[in-house]
Amino acid sequence: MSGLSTPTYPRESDAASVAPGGRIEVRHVSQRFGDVLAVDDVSFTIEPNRITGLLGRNGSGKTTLLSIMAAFRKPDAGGVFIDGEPLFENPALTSQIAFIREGGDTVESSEKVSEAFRYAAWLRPNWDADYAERLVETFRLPVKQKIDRLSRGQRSALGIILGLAARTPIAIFDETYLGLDAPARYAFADAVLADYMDAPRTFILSTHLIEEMAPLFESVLILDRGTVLAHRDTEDLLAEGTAITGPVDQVDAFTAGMRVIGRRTLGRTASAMAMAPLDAAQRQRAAADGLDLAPIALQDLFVHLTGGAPIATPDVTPREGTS
Amino acid sequence: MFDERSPIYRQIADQITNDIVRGTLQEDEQIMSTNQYAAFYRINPATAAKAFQQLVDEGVLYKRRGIGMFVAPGSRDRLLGQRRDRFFAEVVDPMLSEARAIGIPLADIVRRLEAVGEDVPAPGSGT
Amino acid sequence: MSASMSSARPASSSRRPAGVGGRFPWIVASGQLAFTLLSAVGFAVAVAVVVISIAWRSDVTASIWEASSNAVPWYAAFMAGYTFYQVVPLLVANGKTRRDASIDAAQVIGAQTLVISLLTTLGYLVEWAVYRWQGWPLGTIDGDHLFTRHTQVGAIFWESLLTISVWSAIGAFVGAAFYRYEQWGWFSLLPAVLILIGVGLFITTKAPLFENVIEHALSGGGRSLPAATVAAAIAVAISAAILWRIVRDMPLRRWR
Repeated sequence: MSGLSTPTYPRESDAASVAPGGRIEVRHVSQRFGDVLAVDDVSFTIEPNRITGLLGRNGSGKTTLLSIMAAFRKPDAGGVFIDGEPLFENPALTSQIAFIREGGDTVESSEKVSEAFRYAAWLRPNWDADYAERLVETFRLPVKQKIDRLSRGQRSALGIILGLAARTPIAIFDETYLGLDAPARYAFADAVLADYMDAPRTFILSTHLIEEMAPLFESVLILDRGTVLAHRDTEDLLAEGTAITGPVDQVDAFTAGMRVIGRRTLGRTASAMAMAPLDAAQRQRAAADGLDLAPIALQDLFVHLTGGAPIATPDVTPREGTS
Repeated sequence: MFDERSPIYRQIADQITNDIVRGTLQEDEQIMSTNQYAAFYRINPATAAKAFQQLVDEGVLYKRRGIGMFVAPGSRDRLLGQRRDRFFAEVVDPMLSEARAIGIPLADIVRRLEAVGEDVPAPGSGT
Repeated sequence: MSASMSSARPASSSRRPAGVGGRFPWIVASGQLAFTLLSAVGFAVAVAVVVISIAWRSDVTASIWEASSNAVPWYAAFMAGYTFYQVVPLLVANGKTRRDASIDAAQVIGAQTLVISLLTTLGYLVEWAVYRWQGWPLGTIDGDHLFTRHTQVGAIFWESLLTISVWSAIGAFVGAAFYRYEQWGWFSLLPAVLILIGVGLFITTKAPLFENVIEHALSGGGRSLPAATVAAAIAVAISAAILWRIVRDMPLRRWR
């Protein structure tokens, strides 16, 4: 396996032409809509040239935050800075960001897809028409079709192509996978990775498909109700979570004092999810107590950190008469 | 390709060490680059890089600047040595506690070992 | 910033940040101008039909083109409004600043103004030729204009330029207001009307609804090209100020 031949890349390396992404600093950004505080005094820094996943439930303020980070909106308070310079209305910086919302902000829907590419070529200094063409083939996008006649998946594919072929130092994709079938989603992941490896840039992907996209993310930022719940390297965040399964009493004794973010029971067996990195001694103790330790998948971590599943976890007890 | 039991970078590191131990990877042979791993498994290249760094720290791999990662000389022997050291703690002892838990007498285990274990290499051989 | 972005590809487009104004937005202008030319052809055909049907039953005694050209400022206003409602947000969403996008839009609207004025003037000339050919009387042009005869090409063109400029500028901020404030954008019609009346004192805003107001205001007389030019310039400046207040920190709407 380690000796496998090189997989083919979609494009030749032309790294010199694509500038690396700058450091994105969000400083004390707040945004209110009526009585709703969509973004609540949020501050964080996204290091350049990483693929970062932005996770958050519906209504967590993700899209609002991303809009502010792309200068689509000026926040009520605070600001966004790229390499220390304020972003809003700064032409040298706004041109570096491609923010793709769902199907992309492009020409009128009555126009053809080819018109969208024509405008993109004019608007994006780094527009790579050859790359766009290859992506069109990969996603099977009908270029002569009117945009309002595209299926949802095709519309998403258009947004993806507009974002990738723009080859901007910072590319932000907000829920661009809606309607994409599984092969197309893999193609998107492959395209992002190939592009990233070819010319390292900053990618921020906001998604609900956490498990599928998690391996792509070097860092992950979890937003909940307008505040940052966690912002860490994916591996570091995953290292903190452990699922402890075993007899109820043992589990409860083991997890006493730990930050338990979820717990389920099945008869006399319990499974607790704890945000607590375990050292070797604790692991040995767990083994001795007959407890099973396992890491927690990012999606499960996310669900439990953001308040768990909406429906209460049932305590399932065996039916009468069964063994 | 990757299961949920351990972090991806550790699984990659384990795959590489397994390949070295089995002889699929020879000493001073170049392994796939982080980018190749990333493209093949559809993961972030930083994850592969973390696996490599861990193996470099452990002396299993070495890096040649501008070229890539190579299997360190003597790493196979070292890995085998580590595995031998861990064999009793990680393989035999758990087997014994399992036997204890289900009530298998030690004599049965010894009998079984003698019957089946004839082709276990004699101490000192390098295979 | 420029240093790190230097390109190794000779065929690549300019690497300077999109913030430098001055490059004419051909791609937007060509689409809109094509639409205007097409509309002009249709409009001319409609006017010709009107003229023919009048000539069929009675005599053509007045300038039909002059009456018809009342509609033209509305067209210009709507096109300018569209430019700020649809095109400017598209530009901003693709990396331009609101300032640069507005400059692009202004250039497109400027081109439209020029072309529409040329077409309007051309219309008078064509009418002059047709009436001469048919033997219909050409006489003085009625209405509150800065010109009285078909042959005063310079004055015709200049007045059209001023009128279209003012209406475009107003259309622009009304369009922006509707984009930003949605239904509250209707309130922007108030300053729009005020500006139009104010300017109308100096030139003509000959469009339905305004005629009577203007005629009353004009009983004092005193219209001239220089005065009209100054008035139009002030009107455009005020409109631009209103427009900029709306656009400079305008948030982009939800994706649709």
